[in-house]
Amino acid sequence: MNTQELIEKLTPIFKDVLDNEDIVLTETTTAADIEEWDSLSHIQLIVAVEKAFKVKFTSIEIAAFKNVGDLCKTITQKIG
Amino acid sequence: MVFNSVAFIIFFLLTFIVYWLIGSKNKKLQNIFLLFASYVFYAWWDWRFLSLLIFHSTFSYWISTRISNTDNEKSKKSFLTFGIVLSILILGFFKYYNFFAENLNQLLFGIGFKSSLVTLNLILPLGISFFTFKILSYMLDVYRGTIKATTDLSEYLLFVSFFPQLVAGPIERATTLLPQIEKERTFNYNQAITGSKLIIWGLFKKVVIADTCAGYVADIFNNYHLYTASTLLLGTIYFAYQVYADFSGYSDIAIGVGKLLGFELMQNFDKPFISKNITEFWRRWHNSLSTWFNDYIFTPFFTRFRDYGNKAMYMGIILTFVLSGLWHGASWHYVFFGVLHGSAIVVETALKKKRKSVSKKIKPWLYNNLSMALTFSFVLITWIYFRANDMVHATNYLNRLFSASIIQMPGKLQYLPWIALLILWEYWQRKSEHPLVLKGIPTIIRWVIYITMVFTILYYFGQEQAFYYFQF
Repeated sequence: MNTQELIEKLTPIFKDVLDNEDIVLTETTTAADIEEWDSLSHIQLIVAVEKAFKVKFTSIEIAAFKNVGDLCKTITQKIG
Repeated sequence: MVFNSVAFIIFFLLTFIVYWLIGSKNKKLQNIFLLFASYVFYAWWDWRFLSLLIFHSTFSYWISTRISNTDNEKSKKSFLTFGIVLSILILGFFKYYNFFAENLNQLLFGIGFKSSLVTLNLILPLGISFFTFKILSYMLDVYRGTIKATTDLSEYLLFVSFFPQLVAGPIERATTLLPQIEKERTFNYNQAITGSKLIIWGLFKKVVIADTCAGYVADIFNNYHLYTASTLLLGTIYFAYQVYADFSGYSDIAIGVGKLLGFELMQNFDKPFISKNITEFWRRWHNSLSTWFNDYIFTPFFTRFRDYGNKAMYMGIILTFVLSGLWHGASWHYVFFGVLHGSAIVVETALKKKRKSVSKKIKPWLYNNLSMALTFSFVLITWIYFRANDMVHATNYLNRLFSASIIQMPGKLQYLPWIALLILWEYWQRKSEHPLVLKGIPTIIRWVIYITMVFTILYYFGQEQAFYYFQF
């Protein structure tokens, strides 16, 4: 799965967890770009992503996610 | 030494002159001088506790260096645990020992044992909750790799004891303060002017608004049984503005003093009373503490137990706010205050989607104003627990507040104009960097305002009331 495909798969998850239908994700999207994306929903997002991709992140990985691109990179590493 | 004292003014003038005479070329000497000044500032209050501050910060420097120098994950963790445990023991001994001993004695007595843990006559070292939190965040940041451990002891000691924020915050992180200590600082005229204006505005809020307000609040809270419910309601509003003017005033002075020395410190307050929910309130009120609890308690907790879903999230919120309540003071009424705020945030989070759909059905101005009124009312009521002497006092106050005399004319109205002035002024300058920017006002009038303000401060100066948050 390339980054674009990953982002397409992530978008509905973000829309659902953050309850915002207008979200458009790019590699450089950060929490600052989406009002509903706060420290609390960040972890809810992680849980939803872990479920959808059947992966498990470490707490160091979670703390290191600065944008959607970082998240995609780590998912790619995990699912090979 | 408090900011609103003659001693501080003389101390700061001397520090300012010597600091800039040393000059930015001698950064190392400047830092050592600032550290010396910070220790004088602290020792002025009680020289005996200076050794505690020095010990605690030197110890955490040593721990952090050890964490940073070892590659072994296990030893890293052991050093961190040692550092955290010792820091919490120091804070715990001075701040929570008596609370613990009294409650344990009562508990044991309740189940039929006679326990005789003695309570001690302890003095709470000034600012201990603030500098301990700074130290804890530094050790955790080094452990997590968020920052590299500094190899300069004097720079680290200055980070912990930097006098503008030593005794009541903002609880600045090493990630933003240490780089400023490490680099050269040059005198910047505009920065110094902004700093001076912030000091004037902070002193105005503290000396003129908060200290005068404190008298009314103390009277209404201590003699609540003599006043009508409407006066008690006014008392809660006075308290809200007293504590806001006091603490945000302190923060403004700290930031202003920092600017005069070439430092940029973080904002701690952002118009908290216009918050539309409690989650937002804690982003606008004492932000440096909220982000601390978020980064080092809530997020790690929720991350660790995230597989339990919402249950873990709600538990994390309550735990965070119970600890935040306890941070304010070792007493059940602070814990209860924390539980109330934590519960409110749990309810808000659980109803997030519902709230959003309701907000789409109502006119935005109505929804926003109703949310603001509801949030402010909740803050007022919970602050009764914050201000009261104990749980019984708070409950009695609340009982009387919700009684028929709420429709009577309140007493003690004479203070209201000051609060109205503060609200209107902040509303007027809401788009400015700070309330004394006064953009578009002719220079002469601006100067008249500044001078009037300074004279008003001087007129009210002199009682040297301690800042409300000094007790925490």
